[in-house]
Amino acid sequence: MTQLPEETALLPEETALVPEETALVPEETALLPEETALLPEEFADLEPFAERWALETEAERYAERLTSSMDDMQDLYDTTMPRMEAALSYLDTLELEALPGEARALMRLLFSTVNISFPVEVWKQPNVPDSGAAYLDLHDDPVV
Amino acid sequence: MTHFPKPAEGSWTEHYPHLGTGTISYEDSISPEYFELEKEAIFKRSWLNVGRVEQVPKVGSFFTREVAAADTSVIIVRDRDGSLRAFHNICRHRGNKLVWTDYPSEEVAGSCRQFTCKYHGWRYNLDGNLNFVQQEDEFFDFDKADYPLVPVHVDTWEGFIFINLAPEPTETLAESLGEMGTGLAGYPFGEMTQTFGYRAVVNANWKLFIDAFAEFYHAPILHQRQSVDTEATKLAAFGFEALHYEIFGDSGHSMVSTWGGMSPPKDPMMVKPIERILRSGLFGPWDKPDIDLSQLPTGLNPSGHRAWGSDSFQIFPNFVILVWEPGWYLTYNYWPLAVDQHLFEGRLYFAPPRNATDRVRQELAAVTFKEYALQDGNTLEATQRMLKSRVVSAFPLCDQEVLCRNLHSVARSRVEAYRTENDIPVVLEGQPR
Ligand code: FES
Ligand SMILES: [Fe+2]
Repeated sequence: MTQLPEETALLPEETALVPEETALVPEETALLPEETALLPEEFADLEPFAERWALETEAERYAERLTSSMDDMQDLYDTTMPRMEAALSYLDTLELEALPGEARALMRLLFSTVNISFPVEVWKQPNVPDSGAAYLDLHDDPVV
Repeated sequence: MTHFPKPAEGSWTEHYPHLGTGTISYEDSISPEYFELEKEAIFKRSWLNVGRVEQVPKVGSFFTREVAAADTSVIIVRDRDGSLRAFHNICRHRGNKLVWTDYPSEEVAGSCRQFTCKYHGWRYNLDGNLNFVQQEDEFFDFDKADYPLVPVHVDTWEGFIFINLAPEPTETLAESLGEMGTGLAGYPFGEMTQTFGYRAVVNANWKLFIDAFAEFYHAPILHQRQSVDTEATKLAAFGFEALHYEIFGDSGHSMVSTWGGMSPPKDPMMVKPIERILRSGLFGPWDKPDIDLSQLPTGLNPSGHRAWGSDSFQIFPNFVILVWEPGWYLTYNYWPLAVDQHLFEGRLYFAPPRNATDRVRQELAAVTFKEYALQDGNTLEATQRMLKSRVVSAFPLCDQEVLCRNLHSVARSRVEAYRTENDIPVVLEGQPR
């Protein structure tokens, strides 16, 4: 009961924020389709993962994995795995050598899903068991 | 329990009686003096794989290789007449390293018309001849023809480039590869040009990593946590047995043939969900590429087994080619840096992907390879650390470890022959097997 006044006191503040946020919405909406969307429109549901995981090289993807929490990787996995087949069907209609930017980003997001699949599906930890400080750099991987 | 037939002698090891069946010592992997002899007796006079012809596609294409075990760096280049040439990477003027960028210890690759020394600007043709000397008339009794790059023997087999650092190799590359080489000739290596190259410095003797990949006795145990649980238990209970082992005379080369009917697996629940969706995994993409694999060379699947999965060829001293039934291959190179350290290189070769699905499948195979190799590599460091204690000096090897036995035996014989020829005092006690 004693908490009530406090909570009530917070309300006006939060309410005060609403107009500001609302003001932002039109701007963001305007930007999304043309400039900030990294992925093809059909895969807008994967967009929240794109900036962090659509990385160019295996080295970058692996580094991101090693510093990520299992929760974050599980999130990525749970969202992209059900979309894997649709994404591949979409990408297979395009010429691999000349993928447009958004398609390439989608491809890289799939690569990251591949990269985190062992931690999520088997180990429940970011690195392979008993690998300690061992490293194996993929210094030369095909560019997509 | 034996699932696959063994030779009439009762075991693979006894099929090669010179190997014996006794315990072996790993002193050859911890003695610094022995390592120095290995450099001389093995690495300075064997044919060493340094790459593939696809790395030097046109006139002027070159790459350098650091060969620490022979204390040198080598340039490999395609000359104007289309032939391959190799040279020690040293300028004839005052010994500067001729080809390098930014870091003198690192390897480089590229394309050029001639080699120019960074120090005083001497220039060499692709055939090694010196063609320009800065202020040439300042030198004494000087003729450019007397100062070409120092050549290194170079040859190719099935598109693999080998060098030999001996002034006069005792055998040609073809002779050295012998029966193993002819048995594998004709495989479409050159069509598998989509590659993934890995590299790591491993704190273990170079032979220990070859041992690790020359036996699969460890696979169901060390890699247990790579499989889905029920499958891991089954694999561990079954253990590992090869279909076939072959030791090619005293060449040092050997091969192990393995079943691996997991492409595609009989029961899809054996593998992880992403493997089921993508139809790919450790054994590579399950579906074959658009490359004609109907006529395999005779050296592959020597036992003619239906469940054949892969063949791994150990090419003495430090090169491995692993051919997978589904139509791709792997190479490993082990470059000694010190008695207890080497540079490991792994490369996966696939047919060029036809579409995104192919490419993602390759990514899964490549990433999976890395997870396994990381476990292998780190375990070797643990082995090396304890071997060094010398607490134990006699180790039993089982029949599935026959190729480990062969590698140490051949290396030792080469060292002993070199030692005797050059009147060098005994370094390791006992006779080589
Ligand atoms: S050392 Fe190469 S030009 Fe002087
Ligand atoms: Fe292994």
